Amino acid sequence: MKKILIADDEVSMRKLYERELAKEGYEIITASNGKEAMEKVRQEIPDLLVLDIRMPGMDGLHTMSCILEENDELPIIINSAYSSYKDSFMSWTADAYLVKSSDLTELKSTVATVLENRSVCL
Amino acid sequence: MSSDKLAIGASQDAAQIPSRAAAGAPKRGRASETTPRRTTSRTATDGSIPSTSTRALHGEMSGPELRWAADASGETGSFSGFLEQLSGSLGLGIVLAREDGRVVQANHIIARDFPGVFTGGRQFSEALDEASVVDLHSFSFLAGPAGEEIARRVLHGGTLRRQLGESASRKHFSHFFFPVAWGSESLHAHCLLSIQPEKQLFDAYRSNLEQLTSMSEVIDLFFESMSSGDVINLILVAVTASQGFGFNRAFFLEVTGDHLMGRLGIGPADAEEAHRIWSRLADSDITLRETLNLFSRAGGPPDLATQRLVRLISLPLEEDAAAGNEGESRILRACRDRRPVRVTGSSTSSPIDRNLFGMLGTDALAVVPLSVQDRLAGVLLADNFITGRTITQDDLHLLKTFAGYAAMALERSHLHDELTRHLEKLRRANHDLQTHQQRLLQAEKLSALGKMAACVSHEIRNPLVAIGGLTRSVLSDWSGSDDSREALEIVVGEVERLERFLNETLTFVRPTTRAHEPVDLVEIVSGVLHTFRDEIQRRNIRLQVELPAEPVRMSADPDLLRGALSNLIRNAQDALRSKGRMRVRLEVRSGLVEISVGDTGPGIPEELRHLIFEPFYTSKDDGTGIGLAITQQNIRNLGGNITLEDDEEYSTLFKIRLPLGTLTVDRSRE
Repeated sequence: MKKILIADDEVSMRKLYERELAKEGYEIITASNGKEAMEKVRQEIPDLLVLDIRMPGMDGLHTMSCILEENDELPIIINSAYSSYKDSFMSWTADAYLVKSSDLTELKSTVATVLENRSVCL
Repeated sequence: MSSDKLAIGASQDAAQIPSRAAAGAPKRGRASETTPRRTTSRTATDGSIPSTSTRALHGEMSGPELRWAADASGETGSFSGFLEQLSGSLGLGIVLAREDGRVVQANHIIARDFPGVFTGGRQFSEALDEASVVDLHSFSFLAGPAGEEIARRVLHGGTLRRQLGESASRKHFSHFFFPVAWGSESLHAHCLLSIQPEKQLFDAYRSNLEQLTSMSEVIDLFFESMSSGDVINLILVAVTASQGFGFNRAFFLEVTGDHLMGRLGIGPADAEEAHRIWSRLADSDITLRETLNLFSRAGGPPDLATQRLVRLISLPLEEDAAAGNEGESRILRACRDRRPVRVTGSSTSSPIDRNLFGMLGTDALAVVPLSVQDRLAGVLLADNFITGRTITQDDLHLLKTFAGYAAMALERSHLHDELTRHLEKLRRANHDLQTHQQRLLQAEKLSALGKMAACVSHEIRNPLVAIGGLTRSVLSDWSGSDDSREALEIVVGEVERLERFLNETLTFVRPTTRAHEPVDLVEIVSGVLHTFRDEIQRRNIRLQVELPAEPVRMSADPDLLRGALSNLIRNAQDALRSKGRMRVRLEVRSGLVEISVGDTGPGIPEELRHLIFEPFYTSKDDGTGIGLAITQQNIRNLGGNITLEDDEEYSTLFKIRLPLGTLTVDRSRE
C-alpha cells in the first residue's frame, strides 16, 4: 500500500484529503506545517507528498527545497489555493501543480499518475 | 466760349497739332473781327477757304519768307496746295467733312494710307471703322459740352473710341479735329497722325506694368505660403501662368546632399496637351491665386508626365574635374555663380547639360539659382518647349528679381517645416505620455485588485474546498433520503459556483496560459444562454437569438468565453429588470467572429461610457465593478476585443470580435 503524506495547515483540509484518498486505497499520514512535514518524510518515508504552499512559518516551497536536499527521489504534488505560484521556478521542481478544488477528481488522478510514473522509473 | 469755333478747346493736346500757330490767335471773340491781318489773309488765300482758322494759320506763317512756291511757275500756290505740302511734310492726314459727317475731300496722305476709304460723300465715322483705325486719343478743339457733342455726333455715332486694338492689323492713329469755315459752310477738318511708335512704347509700358503687378501678387502670395511644398508650387505656377511669366514649363530642383534632385515640375507633356490646357485656360478668367488654390486642393500640379520627368533629374553639384573648361556645365556654373542664365543646346558642350536637354526635349532653358546668403537652396528651370518663344534678357532680369523673393520664401518655409515637424513630435510625445500615464493608472488599479483578490481568494477558497469536498465525500456513499441528497447536491453546486467566480477573479489578476481546445462557438453561446433561460422567462424579457445553423469551430479556452458571455448576458438581464428586449447574435464575417449582446434597457450615459471596462467601476447597487473588466481581460486573452457600440435599436450593445484563425494568448496586451 502506497503511503501519502498530506501537508496542510488547515485541519478541515487534512481531514478531507485523508478521507478521500484513503477511499482510493492509500495509507495517509498528515503534517500541519513545513517542519513537521520534513520530520515525517524522514521518519515515515512516504511514497508521495501532497504539499500546500501557504503555511505559517516555513512555506511549502521552502519546505520542498529542504526535503529535496535530503531526498530528491520523493514525488511531490503542490496543492495550493493560488494559481499564481505556477510561474515560480521553485514550483517547477514539483511533479505536479494543482489549484485546490472541492472536486477532488483531478487530485486523485494526478496522485495515481505520479505514483505510477515513479514506479515505472524506479 | 462754347460757341466760339475758334477757341482752342483741347487744352494741352492742342499744342501737339501742327497749327501751333493757332495758339497765337485770340481766344475770345471772332478772329475775323479781332485779327489785324484780315486783309492779308484774304489776299493770301485763293478765296476758296476764307476760314478764320486758316487765316490764323496763315497769320503765323505769313511774312516775307512765306511766299511759298507751289509750282515751277513761281506763282504763289493755292492755299489747298499749301496745306497739302504742309500736311505732307508732317505726315498728317487730313479729311474735310461736313458737320453732318459726310466727307468732302481728303489729302494725299489719307489717299496713300487709306486708299479708297475716305471718299467724298461717305460718313467719316464709317470710313474710320473701315480703315481699322484705332486712336489712342481723340480730341476736338472745341471745349466743353458743345465740343463733346460734336465729337459724339461725328465720331462713331456716340462713342469716343479710346480703346487700343489688340490685333496687329489695326492701325494706330491719333485723331483730332477742328472746325473750319468754307464760305458759308462750316466744315470739320479731321487730322489723322500715325502714332505707331508711341503705341509700341505704350505696349511696352503696359506689359511692364502687368509684370510688376504679377510680381507684386506673387510676393503677396509668398508671404501667405507656409510649407516648402506650397512655396515650390507657387514658384512654378508663377513662372508658367500666363498671368505670371508665361513660360511653357518649369522645374524645381532641390539641393539634396551633393546633388540637385528634381522635386516638382509643372507644364504640359506635349503640344497636344498644351493646346488642350491652354485653350481651356483662355476661356477662364482665373487669377494666379485661384490657380494656386486649385493646385493646393489637388495636392499639387496635375501634370503627371511632367512630374515623372522631373523625378528623373539628378545633377551632381560638383563636376568631374576631367570635364575641363570645354565641357563645363553651364547650368552648374550658373548655380555656382548664383546668376540666372539662358542656356541653349548649341551653347554648351557639357555632357551634363546635353543630357538634361535631351531628357527634357528642349533646346533652351532659363536657369535660375535660388540662394539665400550665398547658400544654394535649389534651382529653377524654365523653358518654352512648345511655343519656342525666345528667352530674352528681360525674362532673365525679371526671373532674377523673382528668384530673390522665391529663395527667401523657400528658406522661411524650410524653417516653418522644421518647426511644424518639431511641434508634431512634441504633440506625439505629449500624447504618448498621456497614454502611458493612463495605462500606468490602469496597471496600478489592476495590481491593487490583484492583491486584494489573491488575499480574499485564499481566505475563501480553503473553506470552500473543505465544504464542497466533504459534501461530495459524504454524497459519494450516501444512503440517506433522496431529499437530503438533493440538498447536499445543491451545496456542491453552489460551492462550485463560488469556486468558478474565484477562478475568474484570480484569472483576471494573473492570467495564465490555459490549453486551448477545439470548441463550437454556437454550442458555447447556446449553453450559456440555457443557464439564463429560466430567469429571462421569469422576468418577461423578450429574447432574440440569432445563431448560425452550422457550428463555428475554433480553438479557444471555453471557460474564458463562457465567463465573458455570462457577464454580458447577466448585465443585460439586470439592466432590463422586468421588461424589454435582449438580442444575442453570432456572426462570421471575413475571418472574424462577432458575438453581440444588446438590450433595450436604460443604456449607459455618454460620460460614463469610457469607464465601463475600468476595474471597480459599477452602476449596480450590489455590483463588484469587476465583471466587465474580467470580461475584457478574458476576451483579450482569447486574442480578440470587446467594444461598446452605438446602436439605434439597442441602447446598450456589446460586441465581441474574435479572430477565427490563430488564437494564442497575446501576453503583450497585458
